[in-house]
Amino acid sequence: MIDVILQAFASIVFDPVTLGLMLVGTLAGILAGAIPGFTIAMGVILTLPFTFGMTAIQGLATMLGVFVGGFSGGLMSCMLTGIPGTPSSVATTFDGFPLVRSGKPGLALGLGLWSSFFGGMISAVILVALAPQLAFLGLEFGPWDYFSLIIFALTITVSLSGGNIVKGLIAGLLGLFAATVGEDEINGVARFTFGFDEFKQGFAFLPVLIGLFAFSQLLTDVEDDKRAKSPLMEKSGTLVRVEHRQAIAIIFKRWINLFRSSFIGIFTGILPAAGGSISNILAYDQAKKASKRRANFGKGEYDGIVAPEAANNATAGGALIMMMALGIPGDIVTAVMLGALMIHNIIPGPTFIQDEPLLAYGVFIAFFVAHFFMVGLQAFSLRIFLLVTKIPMYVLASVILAYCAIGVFALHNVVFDIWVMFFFGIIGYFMKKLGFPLAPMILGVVLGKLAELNLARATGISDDLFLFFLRPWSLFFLIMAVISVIFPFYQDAEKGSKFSNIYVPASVFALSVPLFFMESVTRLIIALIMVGISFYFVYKSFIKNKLLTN
Amino acid sequence: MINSSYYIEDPGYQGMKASYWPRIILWLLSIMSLVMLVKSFANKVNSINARSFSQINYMQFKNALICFGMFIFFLTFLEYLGMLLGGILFVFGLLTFLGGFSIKKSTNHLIISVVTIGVMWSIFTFGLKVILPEGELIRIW
Repeated sequence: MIDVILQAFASIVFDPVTLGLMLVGTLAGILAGAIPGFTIAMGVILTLPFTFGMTAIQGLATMLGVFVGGFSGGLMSCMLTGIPGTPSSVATTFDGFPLVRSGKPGLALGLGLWSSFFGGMISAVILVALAPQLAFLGLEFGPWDYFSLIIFALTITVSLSGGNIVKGLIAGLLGLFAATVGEDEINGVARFTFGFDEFKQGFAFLPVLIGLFAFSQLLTDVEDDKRAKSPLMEKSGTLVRVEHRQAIAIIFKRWINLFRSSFIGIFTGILPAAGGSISNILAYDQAKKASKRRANFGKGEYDGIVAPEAANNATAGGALIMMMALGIPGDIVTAVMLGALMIHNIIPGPTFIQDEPLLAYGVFIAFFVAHFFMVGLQAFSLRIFLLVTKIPMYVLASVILAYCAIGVFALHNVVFDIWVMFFFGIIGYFMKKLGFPLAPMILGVVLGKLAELNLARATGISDDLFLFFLRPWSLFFLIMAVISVIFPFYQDAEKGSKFSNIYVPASVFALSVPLFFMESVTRLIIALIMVGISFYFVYKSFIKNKLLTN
Repeated sequence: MINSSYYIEDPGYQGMKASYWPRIILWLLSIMSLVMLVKSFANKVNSINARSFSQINYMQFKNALICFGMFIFFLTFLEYLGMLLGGILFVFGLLTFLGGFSIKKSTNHLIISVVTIGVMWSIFTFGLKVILPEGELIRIW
């Protein structure tokens, strides 16, 4: 084990090419995260074409640089201009911007930067410790369990992407359908090709992804004539000196908040589809509830910066845990990384860490190293950020649209891929206009083939479809899927209503059922605890209702 | 699509047929679309927010339509113009349509399109060894 880690360490740290690529990646990520209208996912997607010519570890390390850099880039724009660069830094604006306006921009940036660093470090440690264990758990999964896990990943993406759940389900199903076009992997039979030879290969993952996500986003960005012609930011901020020492000392004094927020970030990252945009607000909310200086929140409170920044960087580690251990992407960024691995003929799954230990530990090391780059590059990237913000959006969008075409062509050297990107770009644009979330569709495209393959394997072994409900892990994930579909209704339900009182205990109880059927004492104990918790919740609501009626 | 799924070939192998999975998806998709349709009829439409087709401001799609048009032009003539020339024309055209026309602006747009596409073309051609479409025009020339 140690020799593998050392080898992986050497392949990253002692390879100047990999280090150089990571450096560029982190810088690009910081800028992508800092520019409003651009997202970290878009940064990672646009990096992907450059990684075709690299080795798998170089490609992944570069994308990790963009990923980690992106989270910290968001804090720059939100603190200096009050406009969050990415959705994952929205909560940072609440206290970051007031602290800057109170005359402490260096300290505000320092707090954000080092909270991001420590949050990322904590999640990196958890990633290294948890991913191999979770992968061992994944070895228990049969095709039934995998299929149900994919269904859960899709339903939770639908429920967490907000808005209309039916629209989300339609988007997810459209993604699954797009993945069926072309020759199927099991029988090699052509499907929905309508006589076109180009369709036989199916839609490649990258053109679909760039089209749906980047292309449609760029079209949205230039929609408003006035906004498209004006510079990216009217207020571009000024150059400041980051107060490193003072910031670190303040964060260490708030170590409980740091750890709590980091764990919130990791947990949110593990959940498929729940990314930094959710974790930063959750962590901020918890920090506010736990603070003795609640009244200071929104006025430049230090805890209000530490919490969201630690949480959003920790989310990256959480999302990587799912991808590395089970081959299920935690968010769009890890979905792209999954695609990058597939381009290099590596299929992530429970055996990934065992089969490709050098690559797996290389990813862990790269995740650590990227955080150091992020800190080191902040001052330099701040200067570039101030320059980039003067460019009008229409210039950036036009150039990136052309770059998308070149990047997509580079995948298979066929023009058809550019047409695919264009077609899905139009679909993505109008879906966005009509209020359909894109995340479920993207996940559907990524996981569609895997879902079909596992369904085929399961039905190939036995034609008994009840096995999906009789195998404990499969049942567990199907129950999770049902819970996640009902979750939006729970969110909308009135507090204290019968439904909201019963949702949590019923969910916990339902989840405990499959655990009873797993042959493990630990899981039996966990199931018993879960039953106890559900009864406690029922008892609590019963007492509350009784008090209210009296 | 559902109809088309019934014409998917069955090679007669054991196990799941190739049409099975897409048909499940398509039927679910149909059901969901039906649910959405029923819901849209069931929801009382707010007369203030409701807009008929004639009231939609189609000008909001102007820039998007320009991008679509330019992209179709770029892809259609890619075979003749190649990635370098076609890319420069695409970026220049898009910049002009979106950013407006004046001698100063057009000069800037031309410089931006030549430099950015030139750099990207060089990175992919020389750095990543990708053979980008050369274009018949350049080949003849």
